[in-house]
Amino acid sequence: MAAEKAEMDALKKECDGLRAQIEAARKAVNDGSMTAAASGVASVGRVQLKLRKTLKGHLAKIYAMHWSADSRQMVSASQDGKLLIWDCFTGNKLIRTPSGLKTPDLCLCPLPVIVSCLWDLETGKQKVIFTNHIGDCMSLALSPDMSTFISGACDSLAKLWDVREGSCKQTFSGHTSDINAISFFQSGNAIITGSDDCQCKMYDLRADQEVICYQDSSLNAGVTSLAVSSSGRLIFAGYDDFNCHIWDSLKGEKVGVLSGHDNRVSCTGVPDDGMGVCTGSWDSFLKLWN
Amino acid sequence: MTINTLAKGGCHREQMACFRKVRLLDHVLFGCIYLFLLLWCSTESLHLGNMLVKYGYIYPLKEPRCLVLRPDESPYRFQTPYFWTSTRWPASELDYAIYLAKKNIRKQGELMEYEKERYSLLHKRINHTWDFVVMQAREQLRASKQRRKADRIVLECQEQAYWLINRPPPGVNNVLDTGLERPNSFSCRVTLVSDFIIEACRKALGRNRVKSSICLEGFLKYSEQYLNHDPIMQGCLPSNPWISDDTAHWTMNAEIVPVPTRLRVERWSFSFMELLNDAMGRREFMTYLEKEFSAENLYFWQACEDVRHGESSKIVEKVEDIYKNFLAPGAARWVNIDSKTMDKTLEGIKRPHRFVMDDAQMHIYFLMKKDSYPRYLKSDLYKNMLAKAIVPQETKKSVFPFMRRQRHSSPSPAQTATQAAEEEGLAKGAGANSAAGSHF
Repeated sequence: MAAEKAEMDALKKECDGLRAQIEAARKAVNDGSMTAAASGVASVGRVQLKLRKTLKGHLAKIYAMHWSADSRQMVSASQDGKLLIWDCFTGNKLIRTPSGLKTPDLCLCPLPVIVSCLWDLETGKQKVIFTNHIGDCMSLALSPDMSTFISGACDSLAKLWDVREGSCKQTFSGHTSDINAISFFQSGNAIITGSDDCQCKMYDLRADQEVICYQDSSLNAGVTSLAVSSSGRLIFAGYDDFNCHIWDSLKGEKVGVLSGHDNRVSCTGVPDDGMGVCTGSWDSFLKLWN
Repeated sequence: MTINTLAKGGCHREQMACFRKVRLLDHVLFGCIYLFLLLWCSTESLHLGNMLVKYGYIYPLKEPRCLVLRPDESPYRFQTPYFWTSTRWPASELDYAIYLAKKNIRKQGELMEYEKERYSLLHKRINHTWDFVVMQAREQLRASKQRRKADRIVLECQEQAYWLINRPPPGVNNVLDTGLERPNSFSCRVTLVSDFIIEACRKALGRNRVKSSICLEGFLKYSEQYLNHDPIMQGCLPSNPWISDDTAHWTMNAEIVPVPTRLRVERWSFSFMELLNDAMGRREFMTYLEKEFSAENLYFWQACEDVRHGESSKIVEKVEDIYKNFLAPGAARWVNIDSKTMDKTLEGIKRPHRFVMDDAQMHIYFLMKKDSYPRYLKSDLYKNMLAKAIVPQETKKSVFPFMRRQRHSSPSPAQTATQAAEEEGLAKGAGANSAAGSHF
């Protein structure tokens, strides 16, 4: 018994030692801050986007939305059990619940348990299961080159995975509560996470650490969803306070707000061509802004 | 189908007596078990039933700790597959800790003696993740409160039955025991978990980290480079379809057009991936490579992409085609890959899968990126394309979604004409508005 305990203690010591070394290595390369780097960049001033369209059709809370690759159609999912496909230009609903959809061969989905699964859409089988998170995995995002993906979970960690190997390559900590939203920047080198601790954090994959935190003392609501403009300059973060706040990613300042929803903003998305941003809410409406 | 109907129809009624009281849950899988059981003779069925109870596939409702199949009226229930003992998902220390934590909270500390002991032992051993244990326990309790009472009770019974098998009380034989080591103690499993974590930490320590100043500079550069290509920041020409209800922009930027827009051709010079991701860019690049007699590289790359992203059923035939056209000695479009990669690829082709061409594809990709791509950007072909590219006329003044003063960035040539006109407008309205106010 005593021998076992001694072994346990030794292992724990080794773990802690290694973790401390990793932190030290990260600190060693942390030789600049975003504020310093972006000091020469002009501010964007106040960003005021106008509401262009409101899409009505769902009967209950909207939980998720996703733009199609053509930047014109999008799909939204709601608690009423329906998936609606919209043409955002005309505002028409194209399809109700998928039938005959063209989808990519493989796609990733977060399960409300501890793992993420890769499903083969053709065969309907689970191809790879990625286990590592201790808390529910709440959000996923695929990298622009589609070789890796990131996941955010209720254990307040964000992890980077290799699709092919199925292994966790990097882990990012820093949040103090569940991570609800996660997204890649188009450059593929940085990710942004939004959490119940009311903060958004940007992590750089090459520096292997957090580079900037987007927080404001006046914001007391958790972040539910994130989207990034195509240049990466603007971050659209949906909060529990019914608004979507806009952050200047370089200056770290709040530069605007999209208000108009009557309930929590549950999902945001910017299409591939970057035309604008779509917000979906528990009030069952989708709004398009730019 | 229920056991009762089976019993009515079959002539094995006597042999099935011990199962008459087994209740059915909606699991289609159990249909197979019924069929299987029908084939056993009477003595074996009782023994088999006992085994099923011992290993937790059926559990008693009345005396949960007595894991024996009684040939009387006592009720039993099939265990849900989620709680079947499985080597793929062995019961971990973490799971047991969460279960005990839940029970502790629910019963307000009234655990059995041995459970109390194990709870405090676990608390010591996996102290570093104890927050998560408590958090998980609370979450699961909260989730279960939202269920119907009947469902909640069933779930509690199932879970209790699972843990009676996987962590039997002291004095009871652990049926999952294998070998002389008797892994009834925690240490074995916890060691495995720790080893795994240590290995992951070592790998993480060894990774290459780039200085954050360089990363940030890279981020800044990207952001500035793409500023003019970001419709939310800079608007887009001729107009943003969402605002003007005019689809001209989409038409002009369709996948294949007679003449591409200037912004689009500019993007091809930002990175090699930008060029390859654009169908027209690829076509132009292909034309250039044909002139240089190295077009097979791009054909090869495209074929590999097709394997990576295409249908699973076609992978084998596609890989065969690639071998025939690009890799086989004397192939029509033989690609120049280093021998190490070639050997590895040829070996992999014997068992083709989606990612079998990855190494070779990467090699050719970097070859093109370092060699052909920079030369293409300096070539007349590209320069002419850039010169020919159209700059759409702005259709409306109110295209720009919001005002901004770009003092430091250099606007793309497309914007200068409209920029000048806008600055005039700004100057006129300067008196009324503050510096970055909007006039919408």
